[in-house]
Amino acid sequence: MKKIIIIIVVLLLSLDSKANDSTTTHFEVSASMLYWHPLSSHMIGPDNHLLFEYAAFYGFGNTIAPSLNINYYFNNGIGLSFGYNYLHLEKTESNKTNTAILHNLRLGLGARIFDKSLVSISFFAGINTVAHYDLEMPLKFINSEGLYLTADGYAFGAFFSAEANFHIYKSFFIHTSLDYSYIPTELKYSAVYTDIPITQTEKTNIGGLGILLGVGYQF
Amino acid sequence: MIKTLTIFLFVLISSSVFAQSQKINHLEIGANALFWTPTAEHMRATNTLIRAHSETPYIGPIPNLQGYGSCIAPSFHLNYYFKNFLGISFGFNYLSLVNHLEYYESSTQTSGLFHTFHNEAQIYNLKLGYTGQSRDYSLIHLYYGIGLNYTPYLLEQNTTRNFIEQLPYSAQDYAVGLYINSGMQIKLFKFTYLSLGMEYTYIPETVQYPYEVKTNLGGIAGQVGIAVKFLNY
Repeated sequence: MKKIIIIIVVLLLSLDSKANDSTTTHFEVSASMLYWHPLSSHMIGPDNHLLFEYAAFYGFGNTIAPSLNINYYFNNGIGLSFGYNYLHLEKTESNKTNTAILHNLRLGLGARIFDKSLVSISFFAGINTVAHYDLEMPLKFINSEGLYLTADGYAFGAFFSAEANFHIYKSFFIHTSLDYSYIPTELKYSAVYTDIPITQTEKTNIGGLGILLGVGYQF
Repeated sequence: MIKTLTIFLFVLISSSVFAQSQKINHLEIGANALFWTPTAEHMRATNTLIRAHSETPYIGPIPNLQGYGSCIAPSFHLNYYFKNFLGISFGFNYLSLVNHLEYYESSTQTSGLFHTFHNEAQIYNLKLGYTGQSRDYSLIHLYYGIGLNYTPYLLEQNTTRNFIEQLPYSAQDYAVGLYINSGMQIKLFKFTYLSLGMEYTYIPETVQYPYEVKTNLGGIAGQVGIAVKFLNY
């Protein structure tokens, strides 16, 4: 892993040294609101709840969440991206609420073009780490009030983002982005009901599709 | 995985040698890995099992297996550019989706029942469409494309109940849809580019199992790969 990172850094630096455009801004920092929509049935929720009438329903729905992003560009337009977002999802059915919390950390490689024009466009792809997820689904058995199926852990996947920045005033810009993440994982839920341990497993994709709108500053 | 990589490299190297020997200078050949997720309810997978570990009666095990799920798939394309903004693209990708569940049910009423559920889909996408690219730095290209998908498919849903195979549901046909994609290519070596992109496909289809389901065989994909470009115009 270290060797790969060293090779990538050397490659980027050597490409960077070939470029002679010294007026390029290197950093872009942006804070955005993220509208996030999951892409797996388990995270969205079913159309038909009959099968889950006696246990727990699934699905966590959509959310609007804060997102922070820092991009660094070399002189030649090639860049690195680091991002973080915090997703808090809630879905209520029949007075029962499913809750999911996901902390996403992203590190990607990409590029930017048209950076000296009104609109610059970037594209990144990389590793999406769900540093911690915490999912809760209330049980629907008789006398199971206050009992939950819970799953927590971490997961790895990939992300892709297409960004467009609209330069509005000096170094400030409006940041827009379309994000897609692919994070296959196996969730292991557990609970205890009348002294009986209950487990539930779900192979799913906890990634999704996001639309970001925010402001940023470049220097 | 190694086989797939070997095929990728073989296709790229042989096409590169061919292109150079023929002095082709409008051509791009690429191989990508697709990170594909379906968007339709019928195609998205659920794979849920609730079990109570106890000697006493079980708490209603509730198996459910729906859909086929997401996958990482190989993808190839061949582009011919008349000019930067004007090109024609031919592409192919193969999606192999599997959603599998094994389930053992035990209770005081039954001595034990073993069930398996196996949903499998094979989807071949042949793509033909418009493609274009813009250049800023010589190192980086933005590309975009739109076109038609021709999609032969095979969907199968198999179930065994206590080792006895149930009548499978299967559907085999073809569908036609649309794709749209965009991304960037970063120059690595002389003709070789790292390609990063996203693609959306919309392939509406009424799937004919013994019952009918209206669905969309398309989805969303991120793509990462290598492109070899012989552009000199």
